[in-house]
Amino acid sequence: MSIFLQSLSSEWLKRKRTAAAWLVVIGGVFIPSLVIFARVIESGGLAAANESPRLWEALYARCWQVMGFFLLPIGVILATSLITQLEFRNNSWKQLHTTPQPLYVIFFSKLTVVLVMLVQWFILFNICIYLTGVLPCLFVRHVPYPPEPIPLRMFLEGSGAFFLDALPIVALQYLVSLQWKNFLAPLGVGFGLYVASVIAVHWRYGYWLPYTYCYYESLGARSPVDVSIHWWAVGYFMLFTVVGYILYISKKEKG
Amino acid sequence: MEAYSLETFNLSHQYQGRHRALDRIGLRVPNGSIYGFLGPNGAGKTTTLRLVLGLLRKQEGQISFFGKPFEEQRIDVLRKIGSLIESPSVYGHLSAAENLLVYQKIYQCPRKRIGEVLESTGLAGTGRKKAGRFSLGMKQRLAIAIALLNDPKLLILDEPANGLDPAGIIAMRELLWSLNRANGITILLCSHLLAEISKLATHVGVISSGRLVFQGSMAELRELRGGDLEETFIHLTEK
Repeated sequence: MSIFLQSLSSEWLKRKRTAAAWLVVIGGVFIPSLVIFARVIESGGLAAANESPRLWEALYARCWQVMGFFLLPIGVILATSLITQLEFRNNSWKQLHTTPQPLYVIFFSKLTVVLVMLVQWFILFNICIYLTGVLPCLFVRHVPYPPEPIPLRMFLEGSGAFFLDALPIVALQYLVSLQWKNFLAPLGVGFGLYVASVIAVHWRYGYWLPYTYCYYESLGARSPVDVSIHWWAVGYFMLFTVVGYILYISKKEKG
Repeated sequence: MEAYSLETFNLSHQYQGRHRALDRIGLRVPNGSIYGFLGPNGAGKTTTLRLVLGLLRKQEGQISFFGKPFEEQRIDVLRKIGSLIESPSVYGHLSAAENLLVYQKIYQCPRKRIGEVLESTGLAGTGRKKAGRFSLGMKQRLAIAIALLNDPKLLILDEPANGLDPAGIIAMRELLWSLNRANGITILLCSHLLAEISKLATHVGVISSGRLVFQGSMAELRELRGGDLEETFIHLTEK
């Protein structure tokens, strides 16, 4: 375990100041900032809105709607590919593979970094959703502090669901990024599958596509499929992770 | 105690669809030596080093470090080795010290080693400057610092003088010399520069077209054709 934690700590340091690290911050802040801006601009009904018992539900749905079907999949595609491409771009696979670590440790510590960054993104995003309700009362007169407590359970369950739904994207992007030196390859695969998912989402068997689940989750009750997408997501994640690992350890050239 | 830090037995390699890159190489790097691995461009030097470090999948032959088979003791062996293969591997968005910290966390060597290797490679004054903004020579020195970080018993350096200016080459030579003499580190130095190897090496292996055409002490190499190393090298590699 300690060798894994040492490796994880090393991998975590590598993400410092990278585009992927910034993407997490921008991804977490962007939509809530737009919502705050929109609420302050349309300040006519703001006082009543902030007093509404359904304030948090409304803000939560407003933020996740765009995040779930667009920003989250695109952000995950970009961030996963960027983290993995660090080694190709810096020509450092050969140095990494001559360090005293088993290959499985390298593979899973990198994957863990991506997953922890996703958690970071969600934490930041949820904090910013909270700020969409709170900040307007600091800037606009007569707007009260929301009297309703934050429905923490709803926030946690919703974020957990989106996290599970994003896992197949992480695993497949990770698999592809480890195989190709050219950064455009994982991006091409990722964006291609995303577009295919957007087209297929209203198809009866759209849930067969591993990039559709965040979209389905953001549709909520309007989702056209009635299968457990979370199980499908976890299944695909495990499948892609296992295949990715086998391909990774089977590479003839390791840098 | 084992006599050799590194031994290979009948090491052969063929890239897909191409000629045989290595043909039954039997390297023997004595403990405490500076072993110059010489050969013209494309002779198979880097392929040999990549094979012994596990960066290429082995096809034929055996590799042994400190008397232990590499495949069975990979982690244990890599703990005792520092390496620089081809171009420097540095993270351009991190400073020199941060680059070293990345590896310090893996090797779990004392943190003070970072300052020590920065000092010995002349990079102590680089501060927060990102490695991506370093000159090629500075990147090369940082790569050497990374190779030295874990205080290795065996240092494997592939063309370490690449990108260094004359003063940098002299400083590197002195550093390698002192590491070998003062700390007893065995050094496998791979180069196509005969002059560089002749100034440092105690032992030499000459590779040509994938075959080891000479292996012995520097004195033995000098004796081959009346002391003219250049002529000896050309004679060996054109055979």
